[in-house]
Amino acid sequence: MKISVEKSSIFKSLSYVQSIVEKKNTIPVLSNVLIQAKDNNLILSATDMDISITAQLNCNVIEEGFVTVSAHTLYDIIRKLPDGNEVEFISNDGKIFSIRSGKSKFSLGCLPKEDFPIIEVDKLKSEISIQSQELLKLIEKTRFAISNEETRYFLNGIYFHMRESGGNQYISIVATDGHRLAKIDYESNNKPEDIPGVIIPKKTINELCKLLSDYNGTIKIDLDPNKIIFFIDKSVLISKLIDGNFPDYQRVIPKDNKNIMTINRNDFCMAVDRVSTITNEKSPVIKFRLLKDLMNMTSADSENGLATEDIITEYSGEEIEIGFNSKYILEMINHLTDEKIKLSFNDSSSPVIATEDSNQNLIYVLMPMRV
Amino acid sequence: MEIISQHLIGYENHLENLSNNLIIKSSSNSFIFYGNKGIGKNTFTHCLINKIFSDKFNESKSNLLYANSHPNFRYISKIIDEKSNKLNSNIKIDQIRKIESFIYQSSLNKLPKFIIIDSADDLNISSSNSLLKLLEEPKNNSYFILIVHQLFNIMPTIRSRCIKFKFSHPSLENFDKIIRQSFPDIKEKDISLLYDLSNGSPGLAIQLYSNNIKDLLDNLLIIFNEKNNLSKEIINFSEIVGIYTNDQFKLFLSILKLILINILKVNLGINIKKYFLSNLSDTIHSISKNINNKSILTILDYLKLNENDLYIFNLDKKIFSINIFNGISK
Repeated sequence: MKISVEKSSIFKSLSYVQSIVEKKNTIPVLSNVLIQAKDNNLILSATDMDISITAQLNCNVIEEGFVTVSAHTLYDIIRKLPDGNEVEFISNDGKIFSIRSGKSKFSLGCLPKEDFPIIEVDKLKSEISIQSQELLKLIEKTRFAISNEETRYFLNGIYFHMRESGGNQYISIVATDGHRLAKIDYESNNKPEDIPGVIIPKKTINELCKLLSDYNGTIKIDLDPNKIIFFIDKSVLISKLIDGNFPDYQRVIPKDNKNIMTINRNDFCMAVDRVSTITNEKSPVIKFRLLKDLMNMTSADSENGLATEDIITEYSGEEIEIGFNSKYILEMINHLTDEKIKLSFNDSSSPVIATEDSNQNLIYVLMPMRV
Repeated sequence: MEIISQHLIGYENHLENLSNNLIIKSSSNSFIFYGNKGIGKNTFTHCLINKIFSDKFNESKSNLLYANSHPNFRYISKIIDEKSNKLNSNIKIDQIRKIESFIYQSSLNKLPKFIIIDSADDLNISSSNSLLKLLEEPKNNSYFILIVHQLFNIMPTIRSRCIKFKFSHPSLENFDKIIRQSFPDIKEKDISLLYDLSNGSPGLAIQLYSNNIKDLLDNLLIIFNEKNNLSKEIINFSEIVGIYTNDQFKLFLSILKLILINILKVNLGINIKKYFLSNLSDTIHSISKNINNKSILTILDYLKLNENDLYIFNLDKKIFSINIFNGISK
C-alpha cells in the first residue's frame, strides 16, 4: 500500500474513528484501525465490537492495499504533524507501516487484517432521512436523562420510535433514568409501523453527536430491531441496540397537572443554583413552596446550614410544598431555551412537567423527592 | 495470548452431538465443560462454536473466532494487571461486569452469542457472584460455556445452573498426534515419558517438553541419589529452579510430587509398573531405595503447608527448593 493524503483531511476522519477505540484493550486487534486504500479512496474503520465507524476520504492512491495499525498512536502522530503537510503511508508486507511527512518518518507494527472484525453494512428493513442538525438537537435535548445504572440496562440509552398523534406521525426520542424523563417529538413522513422502536446505547449516542456536530446536511438512518446504521456524509456508524423493552413511558407523563406556574427561566436557574450550594450528594433536595405569584425555595443541611430564596412567578393555583433533586431540576431548566418556561404541578407527591411555548414537542417530567 | 489450535484431535463424537443437539436446542443457556487441565477443553469449545456458526448460520469468519475478535463471542480469562504487569491471580469482577453489556445488547447478525470463561476455577467470590447473577437471568440467544479443571472449585449455585459435560484425557494415539503437531521430531520414548508425567494431558505435556523436562528429571534423579544433605548439586539445582516463573515452578512441583508419591507406593510394596508406559517406573524403583517414607511424608507435608504461600507472598523459590531437598533424610 502506498498513498498520499493531506494532513487535515485524514486528521478529521481519524479523530472520529479512533474515539471508539478503547485505550485499554485485551484483544490487541481492537486497538487498531483498519486502513484500506482503493480507487483513490482511503477507508478508515475501527470497532469495539459493539459500535463500528467507517470514514472515507479522497486521497492519492499510488498502490492499493490494507493494513491495521494502532489507532491512538496513529492519531497522535498525525495530530503532531504540521498543518498543511502531505502525509505518505507506505506498507509493503502488511507487517510494518511507515508514515512520512516532511522530514519526519515513523514506522509502526501491524496486526493481520484477517483478525480485524469488519461489521458489514447490510440492507435493513427501515429507512429514515433527517437533517443532521435537527437530529442532533433532538438528542441533545434528551440525552442528559439517560440512566447510568447498569442494573436497569434497558434505560442505558435513548428510546427511538415512531408514534401517531392527532393524525400526524412523529419520531419520538425518550430518555429516562427512573427519576426524570425527557421526551421530544419530530414530525416525520414515515409510518409508525415501518419503524421499530429501538433503544440506542449511550456510547453510540455520544459518538453520533460528534459526527453530527461537524456535518450540516441530510443523513440516512437504516434500522431493524438488532442494528442501526447512520450514514453521515462519508462516514458510516453501525451500532448494536439494547436488547430490552423500554418501559411504557406514556403512563409516567401526568395528564391532569392543573396548577400551572410560569417563571423566568434565567432567574429560576440562578436561584436554584444559589440555593443548591448548601445541598450535598447525600441530601440534594430543595424544597419549593408555591404561593400566589411567588415561590419560596429552601435547602437545609445539618452541617452546612440553611439557604432560602423567594422568586416572583405567575401562579394562581393551589398552595403546594414539593421537593426536587437540585441537580436534576438544574439540568432540566438548562435544556430549555425560552425566556419563560411553564411548570405544571398536581400535588406534593406527583411529578412535575416542564415545557416551553417555542417547542411544544418537548416535555420534561421530574419525580419529586420526599421533604 | 494463548494460541488455540484450529484442528481438533479426538472428541469428534462430542463435537457432532453437541453442535447438533445440545447448544441450540437445549433448555439451558449455561454449560460446564470439565476435566483435567490441558486435555483440550478450550480447543474443543472454540471448534464447537466455529462448527455451530459455520454449519447452522453459514458464518465463515472462523479466523475472528480464534483471534477472539468475533463480535458474537467473548473470551474471559485471567488478564495481565496494568500496574504490576503480572498475570492476575484470578478473573476480576470487572471482567464479568463487562459481559453484561454484551449480553444485553442485540446481536449485529443472526448468530447466537457465546461467552467462554476459561477457566471458571479462576473466578473469585465476587466475580462468581456476579456471574451467578447473569446465569440466573438467561437471555435467549446468549450461551455461557464455563471451562472447569476441578468441579469442586466452582460455587454450587453456579454448578446447579449449568449442564455439565465431562472430558476425559485423550487416548495414547491421539496424545501422540497432538504432541507431534507441536514437536514433529519428538522421539517415541519421550512421548511415553510425557504421557506418564502429564497423566495424558497434551497441554501439560507440551508445557513440560517446552521447559526441558528431561534435563529437570535427570537433575532430580541425581539429587535423590545424593548422599549429603546440603550438597553442591542441591544448591545448583535450586538455583536453576529459583528463577522459574510461577507456572514453571508449579510444573516442577507437580513432577516432584508424582515421583515422591510413587516412591511411597513402591516402599509400601505396590506394583507401579502397570501405571507407566515409559521406563520411569524402573527409575523410581531404583531411587526408592535411597529415600524412606517418613522423609517423603515430611516433604509432602511441607509442600501442602507452604506451596500456596510461595505464590501469594512471592517467596524465594531457591530457598524453598533447598528446604524441600533438605527434608530428605537418607
